[in-house]
Amino acid sequence: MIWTAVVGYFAALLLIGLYARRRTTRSPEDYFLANRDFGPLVLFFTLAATNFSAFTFLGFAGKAYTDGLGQYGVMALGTSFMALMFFILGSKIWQQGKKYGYLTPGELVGGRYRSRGLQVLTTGVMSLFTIPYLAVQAIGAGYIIHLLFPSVGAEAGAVVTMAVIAGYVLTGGMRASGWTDVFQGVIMVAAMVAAIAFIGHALGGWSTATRAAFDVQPALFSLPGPHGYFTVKIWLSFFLLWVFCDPMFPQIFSRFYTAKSPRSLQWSMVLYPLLISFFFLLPVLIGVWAHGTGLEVANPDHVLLLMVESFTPAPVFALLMVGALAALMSTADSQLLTLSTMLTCDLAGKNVRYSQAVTVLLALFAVVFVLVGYDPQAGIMGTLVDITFSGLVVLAPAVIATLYWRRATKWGCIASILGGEAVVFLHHLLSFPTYGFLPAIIALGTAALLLVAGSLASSFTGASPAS
Amino acid sequence: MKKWWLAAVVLALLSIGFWGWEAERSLLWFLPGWVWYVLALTLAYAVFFALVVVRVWRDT
Repeated sequence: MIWTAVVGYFAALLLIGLYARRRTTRSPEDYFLANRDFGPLVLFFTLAATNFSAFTFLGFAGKAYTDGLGQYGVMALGTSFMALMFFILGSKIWQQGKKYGYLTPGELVGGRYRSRGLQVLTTGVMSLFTIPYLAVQAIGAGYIIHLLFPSVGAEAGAVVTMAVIAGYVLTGGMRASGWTDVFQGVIMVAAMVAAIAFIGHALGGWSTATRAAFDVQPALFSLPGPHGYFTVKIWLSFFLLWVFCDPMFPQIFSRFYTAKSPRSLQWSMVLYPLLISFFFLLPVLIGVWAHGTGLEVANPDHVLLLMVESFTPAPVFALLMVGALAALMSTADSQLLTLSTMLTCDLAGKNVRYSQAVTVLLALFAVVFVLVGYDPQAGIMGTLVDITFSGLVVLAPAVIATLYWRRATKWGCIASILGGEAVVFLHHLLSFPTYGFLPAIIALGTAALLLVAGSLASSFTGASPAS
Repeated sequence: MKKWWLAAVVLALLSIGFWGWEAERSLLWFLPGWVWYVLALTLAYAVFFALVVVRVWRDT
């Protein structure tokens, strides 16, 4: 059953990629951005599926098992409110992209100031934090395949999954990425809805399931939670982090270029919180319900799988595992394509063949990362994975100023990005106090201050602001 | 335009919900009241965004 589901799922992805290839020319705009032709449905699903990773599936339930329902609040509010950025940033990015033919985030930021250095810096920062994240997705893929098929090693699972991802990205470019995101988004939602429906039924209804968990550990239902994690400052930190960080993911930023018209972005903005309002609640509830079932949960990250394995029929378990793979792959394919687009267009020119070569190299890198058994929590790669969100949120002030602030200058943006990143790395090394807030918020504030100070200082010394 | 920005700020402030922290929790049907509040707020965002689309975005 599970073999059939996974093989069928991979085959469907490759077929979508092949179909996308028939509709895709070799022109850079078509391959990298699907000719800027995504309608409301595709854009909405691709934004959602790209943003929802395997963590949304497995990690939310695990975190809720440990720290309670607060996990729903910190994730749902900020991520939903972030959709306002589709208007504030997305509409402008789409407009500028169409007007000047931009394909990458770096082109937009560097383009306004006619600064090649700023373009490369933006691309460099985005790539620096996205490449390790891609490698972690490969590890996650191997892990899921190994859980599904214990006879298959995690390494082999990672190789096969990355090969499938690279296969459809190489054949169909952005169109394949977007179309597979629709397919994968539907699977993710269907899997989670099926899981909670069956588990809720098996536990005697949602109300009974909740009451059982509440009786065992009522602190899970309170704020700040059983371990006091969800403080007001942490809540506020996550709210700001998701609002400003999510659009700075290069794979999300690039999708703003792909809208056929503002209407696509408008529909996405309205539908996004509607999806999140219920979708994020489901894994969190399952994680909390586990406390009322008496299940032995050794690793909280496995709680969703344990619950589904224990309380649903085999087909639902298979569907959930495919859903987890879909969540992971829809993020990884977007990262792979966007990285290869940036590393090609911003460094070597707008050439589809170069980009495809970079795609293969990046996929190989991710696979080698798994094959050599690299610990994702160790070394420089571990550091980069740990600080991905902090490292990317630092770009937000420079991007916002590029789009809205006439007095912003190249030097202000450079100071903002470098200064913000310095805070991120220094905090990781020295752990200075952040007064209860996430370190990312301190870095974001520093980047904003440096942007204003740097722009004003450089304009006084004669550097021209906007062009 | 200013009133729309103000509305966005108000919604953002409502998202923090700092007035209900550490209060005694009881369940309303199958969720605590504050989770219903979060759920309602995310739905309110959708309504607000729809209004922004109709009243602001179309004009710009």
